[in-house]
Amino acid sequence: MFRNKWTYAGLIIILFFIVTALTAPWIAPEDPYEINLVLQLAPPDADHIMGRDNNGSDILSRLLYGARISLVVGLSVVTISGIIGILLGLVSGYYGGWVDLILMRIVDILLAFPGLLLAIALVAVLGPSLTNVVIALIALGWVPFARLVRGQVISVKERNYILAARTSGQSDLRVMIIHILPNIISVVIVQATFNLAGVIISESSLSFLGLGAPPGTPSWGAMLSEGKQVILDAPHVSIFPGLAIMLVVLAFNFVGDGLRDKLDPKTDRK
Amino acid sequence: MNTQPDILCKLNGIVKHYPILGGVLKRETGKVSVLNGIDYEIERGSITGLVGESGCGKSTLAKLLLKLEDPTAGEMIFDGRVVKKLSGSNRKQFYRQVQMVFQDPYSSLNPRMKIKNIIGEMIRIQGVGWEEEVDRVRSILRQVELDSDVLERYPHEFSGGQRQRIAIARALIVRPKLLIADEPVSALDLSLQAKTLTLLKGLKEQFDLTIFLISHDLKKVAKFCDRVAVMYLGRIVESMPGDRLLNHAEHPYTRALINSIPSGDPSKRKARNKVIKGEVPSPINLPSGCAFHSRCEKRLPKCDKSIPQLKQTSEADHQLACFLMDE
Amino acid sequence: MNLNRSPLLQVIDLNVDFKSEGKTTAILKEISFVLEKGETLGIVGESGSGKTITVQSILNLIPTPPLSGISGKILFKDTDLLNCSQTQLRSIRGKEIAYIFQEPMTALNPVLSIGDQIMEMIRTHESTGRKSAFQKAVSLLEEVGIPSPEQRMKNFPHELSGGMRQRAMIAMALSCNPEILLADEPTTALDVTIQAQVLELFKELKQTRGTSIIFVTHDLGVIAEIADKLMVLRQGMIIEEGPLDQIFKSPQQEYTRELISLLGGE
Repeated sequence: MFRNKWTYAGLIIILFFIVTALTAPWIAPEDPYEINLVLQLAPPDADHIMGRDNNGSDILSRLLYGARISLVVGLSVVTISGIIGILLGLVSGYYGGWVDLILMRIVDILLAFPGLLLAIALVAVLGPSLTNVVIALIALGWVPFARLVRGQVISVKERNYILAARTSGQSDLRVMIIHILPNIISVVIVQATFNLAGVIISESSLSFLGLGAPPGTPSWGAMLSEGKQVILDAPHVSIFPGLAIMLVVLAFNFVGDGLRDKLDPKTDRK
Repeated sequence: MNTQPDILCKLNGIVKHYPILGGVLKRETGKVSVLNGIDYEIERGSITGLVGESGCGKSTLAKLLLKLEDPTAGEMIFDGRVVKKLSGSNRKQFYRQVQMVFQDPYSSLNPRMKIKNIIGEMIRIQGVGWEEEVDRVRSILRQVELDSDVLERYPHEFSGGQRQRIAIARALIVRPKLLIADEPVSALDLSLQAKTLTLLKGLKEQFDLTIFLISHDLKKVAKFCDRVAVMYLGRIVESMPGDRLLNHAEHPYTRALINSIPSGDPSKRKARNKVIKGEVPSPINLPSGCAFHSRCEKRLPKCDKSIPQLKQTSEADHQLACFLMDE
Repeated sequence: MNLNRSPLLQVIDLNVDFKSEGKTTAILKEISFVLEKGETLGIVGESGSGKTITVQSILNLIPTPPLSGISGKILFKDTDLLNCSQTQLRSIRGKEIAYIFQEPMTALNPVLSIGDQIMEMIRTHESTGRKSAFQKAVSLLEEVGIPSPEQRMKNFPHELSGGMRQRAMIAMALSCNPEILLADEPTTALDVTIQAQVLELFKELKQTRGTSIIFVTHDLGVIAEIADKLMVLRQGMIIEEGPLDQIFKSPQQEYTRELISLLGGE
């Protein structure tokens, strides 16, 4: 189905992480919340192949449980904010005029603030919880999608096949979804894979500040930032969650590339 | 017998200006006057040609006829009814009657769609069932002389000539009354141009079409069209039967266009003095009076003061907007 | 004609192969022709006939890939352009043989003014100061018929009309007084009126400068206006060549006959 074998590698990696996230309670060697201060920062050994963190908890176990939070937050934020951003970008680029003017001013305003600061403010208003972190990240996450899609729509909408579609009597919505979107989706996919990594990190920052998951809850981002403090003494604490994030992002990139080729009939040869 | 011509589409004083916006508040600081009062009638069953240099408003007129844009002023009467702004239901209704073939066959077909969908969706959105759709797509492909094995393929697999026939099939499957063709063959090789035009002429008979052909190729227009309108800076300056174009045109601009055509005969290389000087002036600052006076060799004193109206000449069906005819 | 003197440009058995997706296709097959000083050669053919590749190979402008093989000889005043050093080729490009593209909008650099681009061309090949280069550029723009050339020097390509851009492109090509102009469909993107003006410009250059021109087009009508000699290409092969008048009077090949008959609008 896909020409590029890396696409399959990406799919396998994603599947692997989803399975481990689902089966964490059974396959994790230890309770991820168990604190064992005697074994604080113990390096990897045969029984605990990833070693122990600041609290002496088993890193492998926390990583397995952490996949649940990181993947759920990452995927839900990117999917929902992506859909919102695509729709707003389509409308803005296609209709132009005052719709475009207002939407793009909102985008400018949101981009003028450091993203994380706005997210912190939002969660502070909504009240700290993981759900509110997701909401805050969605509230900001649509911005780059909308900008990107708007620009692409403007460049595509004057092409003759779009004019031809309009002269078939189709509704504007249909022209946007059936004719414009497939021609710009590849750049959106690339943007989405970038955003995924950013969202996983942002969630950790917010959780680290006590605005997201309760302290001690395993999430990859949180583990990474805890490990930062001891990176010289115990590099394994940050290396393993870092590797996990990198692998997932890479996997999504591979899948994104594959999808892009698949969606382009010029590169999708049977 | 009724001698009154049967008019399919009538344009009344069509004006199209685009505002130039400037400053932070996007205020109008000027305007581009693309169409400056077009009165024209397209006769049912005719092939009407429109010629002129690029930048004279040909393509904008096509967009207005297609209702892809609305005029600043003036109205269009199609099949006896005034065409208003399109919305929901009357949009579908309108595009069953008016269709278009674009110049560039490489950008007019959606690269992400199979041919069967490109053509089929035109009637699918009218609620035609699946089986009927496939039947009609196959039959229209036969009529434009393409095999039905093209159905499952994508546009990039075809040559320019084949793509243009696909585009014609897409337009004709809804059985429109008016087909607007904007330079339909100018992107094709010479040998294909003639073939495609012949195909189009044949289809016109089969489908009872009226064709509005926009072109810069005067020889093709003269041969192919029943009537020809010549446009300069958003006005029609001359209109005549196609067979009169090359030898009986009277407007100095039409004459200049004809003199610019390469003769195609090495023994008749043209003398330099016959070539028209200068370029089309900017539609932002229209010349006063007759827009052509700045390039006209037969200019009269009044030409830069008042605008000549399109008037009937002594010849039947021949209209001219030039002060020289009164002299 | 002096038979002892070697021609200005001589192409002998030029073969060009392209490779894409593992398949090798012969694009040009045994192309041979001669261009004398002051002569205008018209190359006519439909899309895919190899006419553009023929002129591009003269200056070694075909990128690899798709180019996979090129053989034969292209002799410019006894230098084999297919077999000379990059330095030698660079000193010939622009200075001795200049190229004019079909679409001046993409061939001109959008972020440099017309004047800067012409001056750069002059100073690449001649060691002149900025001031004299400026003077020369202005007189070139004047020669190609651009009104108020001093002001136009400051204009960027997008500020000029299509016809003016093509004139600027020609001025740039003329900047080092080349012996040969390679013009690839230079009037195709223009209106008939502007095309007629640009053709007049080419005729004038032939007379005043004695430049040799290879004029590539799909439009036989344009060639009839300007060429001395004609070469008809089809699918990478020369199917007919000779003096223009003779071919128009009695074409030997059915294909050429067809092309000429299409001119009458038939």
